[in-house]
Amino acid sequence: MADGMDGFDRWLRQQLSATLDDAAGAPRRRLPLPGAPAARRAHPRRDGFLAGALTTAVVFGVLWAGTSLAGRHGAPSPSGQAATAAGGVLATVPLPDPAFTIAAGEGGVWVPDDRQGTLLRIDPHSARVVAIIPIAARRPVLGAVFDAVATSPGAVWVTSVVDDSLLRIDPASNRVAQRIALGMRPTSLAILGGDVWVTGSQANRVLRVSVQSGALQSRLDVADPGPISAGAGAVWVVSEHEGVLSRVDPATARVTPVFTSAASSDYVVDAVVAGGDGVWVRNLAAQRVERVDTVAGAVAADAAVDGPVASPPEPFTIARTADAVWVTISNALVRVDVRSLQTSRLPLIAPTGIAAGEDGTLWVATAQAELLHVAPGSG
Amino acid sequence: MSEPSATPEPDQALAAIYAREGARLVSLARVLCGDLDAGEDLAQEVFVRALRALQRDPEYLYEPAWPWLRTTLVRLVIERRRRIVRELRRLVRVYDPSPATDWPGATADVASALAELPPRMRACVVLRYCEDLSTLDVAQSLGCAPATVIVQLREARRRLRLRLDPPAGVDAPMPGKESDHG
Repeated sequence: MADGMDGFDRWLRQQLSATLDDAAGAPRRRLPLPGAPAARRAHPRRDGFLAGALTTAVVFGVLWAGTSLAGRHGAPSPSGQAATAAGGVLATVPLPDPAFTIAAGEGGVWVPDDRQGTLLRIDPHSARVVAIIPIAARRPVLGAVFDAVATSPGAVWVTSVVDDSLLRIDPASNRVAQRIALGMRPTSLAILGGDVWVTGSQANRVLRVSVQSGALQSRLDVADPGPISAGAGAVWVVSEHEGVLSRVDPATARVTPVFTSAASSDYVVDAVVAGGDGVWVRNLAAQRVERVDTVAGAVAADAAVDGPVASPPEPFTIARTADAVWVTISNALVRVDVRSLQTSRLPLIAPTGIAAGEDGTLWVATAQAELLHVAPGSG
Repeated sequence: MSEPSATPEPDQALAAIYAREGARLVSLARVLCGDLDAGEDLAQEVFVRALRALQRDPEYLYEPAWPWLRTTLVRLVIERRRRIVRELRRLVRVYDPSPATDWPGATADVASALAELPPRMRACVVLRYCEDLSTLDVAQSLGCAPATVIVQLREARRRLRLRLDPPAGVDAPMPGKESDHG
């Protein structure tokens, strides 16, 4: 190891050796050997973390119960929120549980219910739940069932992390029409033409599945693939750890990195949406929304969306309408005008996922177990 | 006819490994995580996995056990944040982790600079400089190509140079040396 090292290498090695010594010298909680009787209590930090999570879940539950005990499952209520330049809330649909990933299209707004393992279909006109589709036969005690939902002509697609599958829902019958084993844990999905593209961050893989047959068409190696979007003639994938945006050519299935975020921390780019004028990403570190020039590999335009950003990042916190890009922060829905880059915001409580409807309106899920129908403003 | 050699019970085999390598694994995990408590938890998780593996197959983990422990740890560290995000994001919308225990000694800056690197890059640095692994061995541990390790190390050195501001005289590379050696 010593051979070939320069001065900085030697110095760095000394520093890291000292760091290792300091780590070794720090007091330990003396975790017992696994298998010993006390080992089951060997994760105080994790236990505390889960306790915190459960507490938060209870708080959400109390909020849910307190805000809308009446009319669960679907009766819309008028919102008391004032409209702003960003838009106004047309209706509020109470949900049985908080939702985080939603999709709009094929005559419905599709909202996964992780706790029940079902997919709710909401009629966009009446803002009522019109179908509850069972998806998962078994559910984890904690954590998610679904990771992503999207629509294609004649189908709704949802991923299940319970059995690592991709499911096709027939919107005509509101039933599961096909269950496709992915062989990897799905992270996100996008639809382009006749294909469904599914990322698997743990497997470092992107799969292309035929919309028609459900057959696996391509299996691509991509490091840490997370958020994915289709548009501008290609599929766009974010490698989360490295902050790299890659273009996948749907004709050749070739993956080409086109942009690397300048920031150095993980999960810098956490969401991506592609439209007619290019690819927009959400830069968490800089708290900005950026339009990427995918030819030059640089940021062509950007706008600040500073404010409390929800953490951990949600991959579905960005959406696109004709003249704006929309992102959620912890206390608002933010509109970014794609031409002027001016921002305006609609204050909301804990918004999570966004979906743009076929009629140009927006649907926003919240951690308060509500689905909001939002009429976008013009600036 | 000779007596078959007695295979130690899984917990006995693991106890011996734990006694010998436990503290070392905790130290490495702490540096890899940049977090004392999380590192200790992950080192514990490695031993939990080792126990499960030994219960399935008493000969699963053979000596020297350290490479298996180290590789399992590195992969757990790389997955750690994603696992946390995935498991808890549905429940905890505003995730605010509790403050970490203060890093001891004078190396807090180094630990902090290391923690700012992406997990895979950080693992390359730690395996290379703390564990003295070759580029090939680092690549094998991480399940990636050697070229990836070289690129990651080059970028890590660049970032750490900027971040740590080494004393004058240390920073200049030796003439003709490029240290993507393996």
